[in-house]
Amino acid sequence: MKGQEIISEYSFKGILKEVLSYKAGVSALVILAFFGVLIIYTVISLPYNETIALWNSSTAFLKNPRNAEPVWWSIFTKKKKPRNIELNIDINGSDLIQEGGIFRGEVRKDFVYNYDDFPTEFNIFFKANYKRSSPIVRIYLVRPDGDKILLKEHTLRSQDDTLYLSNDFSLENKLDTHVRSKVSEPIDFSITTTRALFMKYSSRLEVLKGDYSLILEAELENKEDSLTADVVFYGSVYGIAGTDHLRRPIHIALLWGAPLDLSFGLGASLSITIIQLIIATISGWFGGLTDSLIQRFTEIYMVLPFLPIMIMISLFYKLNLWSLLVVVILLSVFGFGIKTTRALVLQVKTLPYIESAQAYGASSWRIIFLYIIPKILPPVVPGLVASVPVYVFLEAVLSLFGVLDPTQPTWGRVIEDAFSNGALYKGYFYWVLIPSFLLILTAISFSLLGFVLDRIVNPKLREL
Amino acid sequence: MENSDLLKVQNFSLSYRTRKGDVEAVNNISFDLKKGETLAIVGESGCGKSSLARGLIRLFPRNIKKVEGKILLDGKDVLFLDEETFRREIRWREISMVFQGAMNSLNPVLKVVFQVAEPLMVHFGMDKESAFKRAKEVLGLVGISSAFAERYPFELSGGMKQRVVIAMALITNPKLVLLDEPTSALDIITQENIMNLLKMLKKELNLTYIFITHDIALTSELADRMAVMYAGEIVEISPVEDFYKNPSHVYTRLLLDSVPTLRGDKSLKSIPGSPPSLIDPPSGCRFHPRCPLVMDICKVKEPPSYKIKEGHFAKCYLNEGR
Amino acid sequence: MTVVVAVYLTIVIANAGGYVDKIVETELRFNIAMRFKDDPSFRNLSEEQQKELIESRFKHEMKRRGLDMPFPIRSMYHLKDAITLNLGRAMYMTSDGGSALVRNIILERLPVTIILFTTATVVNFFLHLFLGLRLSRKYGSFWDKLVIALSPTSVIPGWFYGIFLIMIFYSWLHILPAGGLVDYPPPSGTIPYFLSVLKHMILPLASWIIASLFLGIYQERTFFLIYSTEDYVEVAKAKGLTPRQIENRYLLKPALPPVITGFALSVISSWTGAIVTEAVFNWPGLGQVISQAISYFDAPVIVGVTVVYAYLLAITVLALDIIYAIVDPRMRIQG
Repeated sequence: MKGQEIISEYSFKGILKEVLSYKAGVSALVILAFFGVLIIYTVISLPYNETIALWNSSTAFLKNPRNAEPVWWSIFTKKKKPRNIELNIDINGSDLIQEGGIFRGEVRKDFVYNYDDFPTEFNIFFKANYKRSSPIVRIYLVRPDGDKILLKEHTLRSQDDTLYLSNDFSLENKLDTHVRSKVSEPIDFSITTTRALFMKYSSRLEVLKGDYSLILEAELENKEDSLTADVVFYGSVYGIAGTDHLRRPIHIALLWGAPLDLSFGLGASLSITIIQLIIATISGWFGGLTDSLIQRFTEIYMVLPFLPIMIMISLFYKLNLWSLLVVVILLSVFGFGIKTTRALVLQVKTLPYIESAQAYGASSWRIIFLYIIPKILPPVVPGLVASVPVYVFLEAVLSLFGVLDPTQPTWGRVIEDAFSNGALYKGYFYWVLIPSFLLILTAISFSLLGFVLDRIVNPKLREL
Repeated sequence: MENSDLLKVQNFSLSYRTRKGDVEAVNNISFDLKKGETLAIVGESGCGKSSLARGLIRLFPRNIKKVEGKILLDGKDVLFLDEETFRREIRWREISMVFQGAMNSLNPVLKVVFQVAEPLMVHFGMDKESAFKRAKEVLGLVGISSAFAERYPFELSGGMKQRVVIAMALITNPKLVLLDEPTSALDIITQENIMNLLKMLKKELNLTYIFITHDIALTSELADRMAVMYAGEIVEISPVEDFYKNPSHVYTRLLLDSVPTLRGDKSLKSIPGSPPSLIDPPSGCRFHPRCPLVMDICKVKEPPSYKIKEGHFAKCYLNEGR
Repeated sequence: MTVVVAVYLTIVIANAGGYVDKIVETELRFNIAMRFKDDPSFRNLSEEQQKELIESRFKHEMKRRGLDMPFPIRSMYHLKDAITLNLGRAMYMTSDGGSALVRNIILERLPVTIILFTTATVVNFFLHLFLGLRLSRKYGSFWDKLVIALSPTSVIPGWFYGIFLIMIFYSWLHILPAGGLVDYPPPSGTIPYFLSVLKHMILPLASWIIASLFLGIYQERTFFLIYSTEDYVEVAKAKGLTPRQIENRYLLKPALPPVITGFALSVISSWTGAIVTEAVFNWPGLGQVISQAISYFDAPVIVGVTVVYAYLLAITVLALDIIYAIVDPRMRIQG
C-alpha cells in the first residue's frame, strides 16, 4: 500500500451512502437495526436487576411447563400441542353456605380441551387464609363423556400448599384401576394421571376432546376464612422461545443476551483496537528502544495460549461478564494488530503534512493523537467491526466450559444449559437452535459490514 | 506504404471496465514501423502509453472490456491470434519488452541467470546448461559479469537490474523490443549509462525499438521518429527532426516548451491544467480544454489527421489549409 | 527466549491466585510422605510425631529449594520446573495408564489432539491453496462470486458448526457418532479400530473444513490475484511462459513465505480452537483434559496444559523461522 492510498477523507454520511450501495451492506445494517430495536425494547421493558433476580429465582416460574417448545415450533410437527391451561379459583365469604359447624363452598370452572396431545403435568397451587384449622378440599374433574372423577380429598398442610397431582402415585393407581374398569380390552400403554383424565376410554391412546369442568369443593371453619386455588394443566409449548429445564422462559435470556453479548463484543473489539492503535502508533512514531521493546513484547504475547489462559483465569477467579471483558482486553492489547498498524504508521510518518507539523513544533503526543491516529483510523475500522463476532463467540466458548458467572443470561449461557441438560440427545433442538441462530445472525451481520467497509477503505480490493 | 514495414498498427483501441465507468485507455491508434527503426512515444503520465505498449504484446489487465483494430507483424494479424499460438510464436520470440521499473520486473526468488535464460528453455527447448551459457554471454554484452549472474535480484543494484532486464529482452533476438520507461527509476548517471547501452545495442544488433517515455530529453539520442500521445490518442507523429523544428500540434509545442535545453535562453513553461479523465473524455479535440489557441470547432468535432509532409501527421485544426 | 518469557508470564498469571505455589507444595508434601512411608522406624512413631516430622522436613525442603523466598525469586524456580516439563501431580485426574503426573496425563492425550487437528489444518491448507489458485484464474466467474458471497459464513467457528452437524447426523439421521474417539467397546484388531477412529473423525473434521472453507479460498484467491499483478508475473507472461510455469515459478514460489506464515498461524489457532471442538465432540485430546480439569477443579492440570500450550505455540513459531530461512533466499543470504 502506498502512502497516498490512505489519505482520502471520509465523512459519516459518505460512508453510510457507500455501505448502502452494497447489498451486503444493506442486509447487515437491517439486521443490526433489528438488534438495536430489540435491545432498546429489552432494556426498557425488562429492567436489568429485576430480570436477573427473576431469572435466578427458583419459584418465579413454577406455573410454566418444563422444557416446553416454542409455540410456533409445531409448524415442524403439525400436531396441535397443548398450551398451559390455568384456572383461578377463588372461594370466600359470599360463596359460602353454612352446613352445621362448617362453611362449604363449591366452584365449577369449565374449559375446553381440544389439543392433540396430553398435558405434561397437573398441579394445584393453594393459598389459604384461616384462623385455626386448615380447610379441606375435594377436587373433581367432569369429562365430556359425563364421567365425574374425584381426584383428591386433601387437608391443606399450610397456608401455601401445592398438590403435585401428576406425581401422585396413589392417584395414578386409582385412575389406572378406574380406566381399566371402563375399557373391556386390554391396555398396553402405561396410564399416567394426565392420560387417564384426558383420554378416550378405549384401548388406543387418544385424546378426548371437548368441554371439561373442574369442580373444587372446600370446607372452611369460619366465614372469614378464604381459599384460592390455581389449577394448572401444563402444556408442552410456551412463548416464543420455549422454556428450559427450570421452567424459565428462554426468551428472557435471549432478550437480555442481545445487549450483554453485543456490548461485550463491541466493548472488547473497540477497546482492544483503540489501545492497539495507540500502542502501535507510539511504537512506530518514537522508534528506537520503545519500538523494539514493544515489538518484542508483542511477539511474546503472540505465543501466550490465549484460550487456555482465559479458561484458567475465569475458573480461578469466577469472573462475571464485565471482569471477563477487562481480562480479555488485557490479554489482547499486545496482539497481532500492532504489527500491521505499526506498518501503517511508518508510512504515514513520512507524509509531508506530518513533517510540517513537526517543523512548526507540534509535540509528539499532539502529532500522535491529532495527526497520525485520525489518519490510520479508516483502515483499522473494518477489522474492528469484523472482530466483534470473535469476542461474542469467545463469551459463548467460556460459557460452554461453564467457567463464567452462571447468573448472567447470555446466548452462550443458554446453549451451555441446553448442552448440559442433554438437549441434543433428548431432541430439544429449539433450545440450541434459537440462540445459535441469534449468534449466527449477529456474527454474519458484523462480518458483512466489516467486509463492505474493507472494500470502501481499501480501493485496491474493489477491483478484486 | 511499403511491405518492409515490420509492424503495422491500425485503428487500435482498448478500454477497461472500472467501478466508476469504462476507461478508454487507447483510442483508435494507427502507426507503422520499419525494421531497424526506433519510434519514441512521448506523453504525460496517464495518457495511455503503457497501455499501448502492453497491448502490443497482449498483456491486458483483468478488467479489459474492448479490444479493437489490427496489429500486423510482418503482415500477419496477431491481435486476435489464439492465446496459445500467440504465447508460443510471438511472445519474446518476435516481440520482447523491457518493463517500467526493473526493481519489480525480476522474480525475487529466482537467480538472475535463470530468469534471463528462461525464454531460451521455453521457446527453443534448450537444455539448462547451454541456455545458461548463452545467458551469461548476453549478460556480458550488457556489462554484467558472470559472477553476478548466479546471484539473486536483491543482491544487485538498480542499474544492474536494469541491465539484466535488457539482457533478458535480447536473449531470443526478437524482431521488436518494446522499451517502457526503461530508465524511469534510475539516477541520472545510471540513466545515461543505460541509454548509451541501448544505443550501442541498437547499432550492433540492428534492433527495432518502440521507446516509451515521458522524458522528451531522452528521446533525441535514440529515436528516428516521434509519436506524441494525449488522452489515449496519437496527436502527432513525425520524423525526429520535424518534431523539434516543426511541431504541428499545439500540445507538442507546449510539451517542447516545458523541456529544458542546454542552449537557448527560452523560459520554461508548464502546460496549465491536467490530463482529462479517460472515463469521460472531452468532446471534439481531447486537448481543447487546455489549449490556449482553442477554436469553436475544436470543442465539437474531432480533428482529422492532417498530413504535414511524408511521414508527418498531426491532429490539429491549425493545420487546416497549411 | 520468547518461549521462556511466555511460559514465565503464564506462570505469573496462574500464580496470581497462588495456585502454582499450592501445586508445588502439595507435590513436595506428597513426596516426603511417600519417602517416610517405607521407613520402618518412622512407622513406629505416633501419628502426632509423624506429622511433626513431615512438617519439619517439608519446611526444610521448602527452604532448600528456595520456595520460601519472595515471589520474584520463587517464580524462577517455578519457571525452571515448567521449562523442564516438571508439572507436578494432578489432584484428582489420572492418565489412562494410571499415572497422576500431569506430564503423563498431557503426553498421553497430546497425540490424539495432533491426529485430528493436524489432519484438519493440513486438509484445509491444501484445499484453500488449490481452490484459491484455481479461482484466481477464473476471476469474476459464477464460482468466484459464490465464494465471495459465502465467505462471511467463516466468521462462525468450527465448533459451532459442529453442534449443527451433531444435530443433523447424530440426533436426526443417526448415521454418525456424536463424539468420542472410537466405538464402545473398542473394536479388536488394528483395521476395525482404525476405521472406527476414522468414522469418529468425520464430523469434527467436517466442521473445521466447513468453517474455514469459503473465507480460506477467498483469502488465497485474493492473495494470488494481488500477487499476479506483480510486475514480474506480467514479465513472465510476456516472456511466453505457460500458465503452469507462471503459477509454479512466479506465483507460488515467491508467495511461499506468506503462505507458510498463514499455515503456521492456522496451526497456532488450531491448538486453541481444538479445546472447544474437543469439548463439543468429546474428543479425548488435550482440550478434553482441560474441560475435565475444569469440572474437577484440578488446578495443576489446568496450569500444566496452559504451559504445554505455550510450548506448542512457541515451537510452531520457531519452526516458522527455520522454514522461512529455507524457502526465501533473501532470508537465507542476508540472515
